[in-house]
Amino acid sequence: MFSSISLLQGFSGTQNVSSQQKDEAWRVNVQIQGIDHYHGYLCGTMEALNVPMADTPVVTFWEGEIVDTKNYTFFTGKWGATTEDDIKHWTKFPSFSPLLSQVKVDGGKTLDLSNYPHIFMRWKEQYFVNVGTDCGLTIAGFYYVCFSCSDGSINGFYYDPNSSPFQKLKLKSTNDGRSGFSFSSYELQKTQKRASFKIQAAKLPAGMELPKQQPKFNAPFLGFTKTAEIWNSRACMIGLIGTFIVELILNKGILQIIGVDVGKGLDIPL
Amino acid sequence: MPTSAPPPSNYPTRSEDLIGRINSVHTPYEAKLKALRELKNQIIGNRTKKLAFLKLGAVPSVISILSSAVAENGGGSNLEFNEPVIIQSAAVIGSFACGLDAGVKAVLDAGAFPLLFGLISHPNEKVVDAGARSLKMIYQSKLAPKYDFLLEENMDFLLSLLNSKNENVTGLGGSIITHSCNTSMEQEKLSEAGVIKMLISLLGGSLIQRDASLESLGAIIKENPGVISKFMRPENGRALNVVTELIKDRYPRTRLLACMCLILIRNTSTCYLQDAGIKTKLILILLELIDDPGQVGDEAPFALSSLIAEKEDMQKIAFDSNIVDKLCNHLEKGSFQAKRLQGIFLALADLCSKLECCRDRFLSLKAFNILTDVLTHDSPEVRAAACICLKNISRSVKNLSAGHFMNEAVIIPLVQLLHDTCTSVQIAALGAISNIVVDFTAHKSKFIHCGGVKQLVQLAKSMDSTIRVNAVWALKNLMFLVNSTCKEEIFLELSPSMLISLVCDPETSVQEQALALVRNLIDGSIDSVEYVFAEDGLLLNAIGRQLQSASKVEVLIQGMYVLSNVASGNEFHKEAVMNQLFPQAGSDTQTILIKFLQSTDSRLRTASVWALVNLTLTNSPDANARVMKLQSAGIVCQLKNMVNDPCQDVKLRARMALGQSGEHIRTWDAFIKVSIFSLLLVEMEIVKFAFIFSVSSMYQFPFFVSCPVPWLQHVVVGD
Repeated sequence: MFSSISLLQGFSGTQNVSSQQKDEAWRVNVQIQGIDHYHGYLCGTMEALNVPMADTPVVTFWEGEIVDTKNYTFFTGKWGATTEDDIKHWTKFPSFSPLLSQVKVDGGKTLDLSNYPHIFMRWKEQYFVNVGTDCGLTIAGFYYVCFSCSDGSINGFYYDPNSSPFQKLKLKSTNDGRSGFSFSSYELQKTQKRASFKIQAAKLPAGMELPKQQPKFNAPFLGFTKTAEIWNSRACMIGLIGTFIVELILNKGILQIIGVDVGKGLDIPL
Repeated sequence: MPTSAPPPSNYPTRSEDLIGRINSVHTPYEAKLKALRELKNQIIGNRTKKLAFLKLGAVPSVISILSSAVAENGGGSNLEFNEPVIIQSAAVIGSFACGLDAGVKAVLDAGAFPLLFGLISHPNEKVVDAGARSLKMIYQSKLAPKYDFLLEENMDFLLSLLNSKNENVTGLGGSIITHSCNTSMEQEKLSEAGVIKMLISLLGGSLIQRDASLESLGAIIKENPGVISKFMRPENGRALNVVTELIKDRYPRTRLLACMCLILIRNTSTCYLQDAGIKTKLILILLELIDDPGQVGDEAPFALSSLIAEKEDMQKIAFDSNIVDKLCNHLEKGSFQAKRLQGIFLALADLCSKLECCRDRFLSLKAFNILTDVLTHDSPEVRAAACICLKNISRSVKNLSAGHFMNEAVIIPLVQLLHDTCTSVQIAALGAISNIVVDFTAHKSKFIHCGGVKQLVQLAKSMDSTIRVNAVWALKNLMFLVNSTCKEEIFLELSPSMLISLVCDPETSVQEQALALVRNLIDGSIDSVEYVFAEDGLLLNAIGRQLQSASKVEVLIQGMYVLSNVASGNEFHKEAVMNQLFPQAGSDTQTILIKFLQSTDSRLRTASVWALVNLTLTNSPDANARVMKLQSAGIVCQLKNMVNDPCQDVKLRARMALGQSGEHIRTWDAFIKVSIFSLLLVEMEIVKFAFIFSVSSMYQFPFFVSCPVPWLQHVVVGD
């Protein structure tokens, strides 16, 4: 379900660090390095390019929580962020507004976001990759992040009570000067299952072979197919609603319109 | 007797003398008994002497004494000595068979088996004891013949063994089950015959009976949920409680066997033994058993590993009981048997297979240095275990990103292991290398400079397909986001012709890895796309052929991503992809692309739609011609069916590709819906409801834009 974010690895854009005194934005490159959907975990690096205090680009490693409502909800519950802070930041994303009312109730625990076209995340920087901690920068805060599956853009807001509020992160996926999207991939090796023997209870008689291919079944177009039944029921519902509407407008039942007397029961002469 | 040549020492003469005395017909029974006793005392626990006497042919001689003594039994003249001789010769035979496969083979070849079985029904308890002990020794070896439980008389005999009051005989019954019960059919047969109940009652017996019963219970319930549910049934009393009690037994061996029994139950039927208490208890007891200096301590880590393997909940509990530190402490103590080292590393590997906290903890301890040292250990099993451990630890993206593994202390011994003579070590080393070379920092060149690529390329030519897969896998990961210089170097080492042969490998998993390797090769700077046109485009043609013929979906996925990456290049590249997808222009055979787009595997649909997105990108000048071609092949029509695909990514990309093809699916859809309904309503002369119906014409009707009515689209909208 998150395949577009698993495929797109490189992003670049800016982080707005303006305060009242000065107007400033850093160029930022982000690389997503690993995703573990089962645990709602992702990680990567972030490179800040024109940082005034540093002579080289500053690279940090961050770990992220995907708000999948199973592992993580919209409520952070740590890193000094209160639920009010959470809501205040999340509502800055327009795509969050349909979820707001439910999130206010339970942090979004009951929402199903598996097919939502946006992915909400929190990114927390863990360590500096290429500089020491004395570089004059802080990684105390964390980012509220929203990834759009449709156009592959990332928006985020940095939260750190001690930094200027709502520093905006805006990233687009990079394509290395190509006309199109190119993807590479890696795969980490797992422990192979240790050999465990499995023997069928019943042996096949001699000379008999299992079929090499499973027979394929083509869904029929005619007959009692799912589509036909669905269409039948749709037509039925339309007809039923139609008769109600007719009755509402003409104030006469459909039988009356046809000319059948109503209101006398079955009127069987016994 | 050899008297002519002076013996080099006293000892051989004595041995040969002893055999002579045993062999001689003239030796009186009394002297024979003495000789047998002497022989027994010499060989017990002494491997060298056992081998020496085996060479002198002691086993057939002893067995002939046994057989003649058995034949004479009851009617002979030397009744006084008959039974002691039987007992002694049986004991000698058992001693030869104990822990020595050559001995077992000699004993079996000489036909001792039926003789010993005959002793079980002897009236003298001591004879029975000796026979049962010897048979037990034989059944501990893999060479012992398989006992056929499916024969009724065999089963009856086994039940009589288990029913016996003699603890050695019941122990023999247990050994037979442990040795020969391997299939689920045998397991069921035994449990039907009521063996489980008998074994449970033996749990209350002597030490020998308890251990034998625990071990054979393990063999009967292993991986068989049906038998386990029988074991758990109330009529078997509180059998589970008895076993659970035994994990606190006085004897370490009993504790280990009881733990193993519980682990087998847990691993097979997930409904039992789920409370945290017993889980923690099992882990703590196994940890404690590793302290045992003997065999139990060697086997305990393997039991631990089978308890936690692939079970995240167990790994979490184990981590919480501080297991990583404890295992590492064991390692730091040093000087172990190879078996124990192997077990500890395998247990550590299982611990680090899923949980990041375990990996972090391990890396923070000094044990990591021990791990790299052990990569050069003498025993191949230990080397392989260390590689497996390293492989699982290096699954941590966090530590890969920090470049913790890409240093000489790790890489050099690992690359050395690629030359190892043992295949399992090579495979394990390839696994570790595959993970380590993912390395997100710019240090991949270190690996190349250590000669790693050369060796990987060599192994990618191996005859063994497992080695080939793993070598190509490692190359693929090495190629991931590598810089252009290194890419060039790896490509030269690999050579285009070898890449082609890997793409066309008979093994599908090799094909998959090779295609993924090409995919990574042509990613990155746009110049990299040219690699795929190497050898006059033969590589690309090979990939195209694989796409036409392959049936394994993983191969097709990687192949489509290769084409997608090529299609993200310039106009020439995009045209080359079109030529691969539509090999013969104008032929009416269904293109593979339609098949992929209709695949039930959403990953393949995604890969194919991405390729279409790249091919239909509007800012390219020749995109129009390509769109026309796609439309005439029915691809655009197929894409329209996919705008509501259950897989979100396919849905979004299909819409993106359609949008780029200049198709405005929404307007179409609405237009057709309204016109058809209006037509219908006009036909039915209920014009005044036409409005209501067109509004209520539900949200989506992909049916009307789908292929079953293509004429309708032509009629209403035209081409």
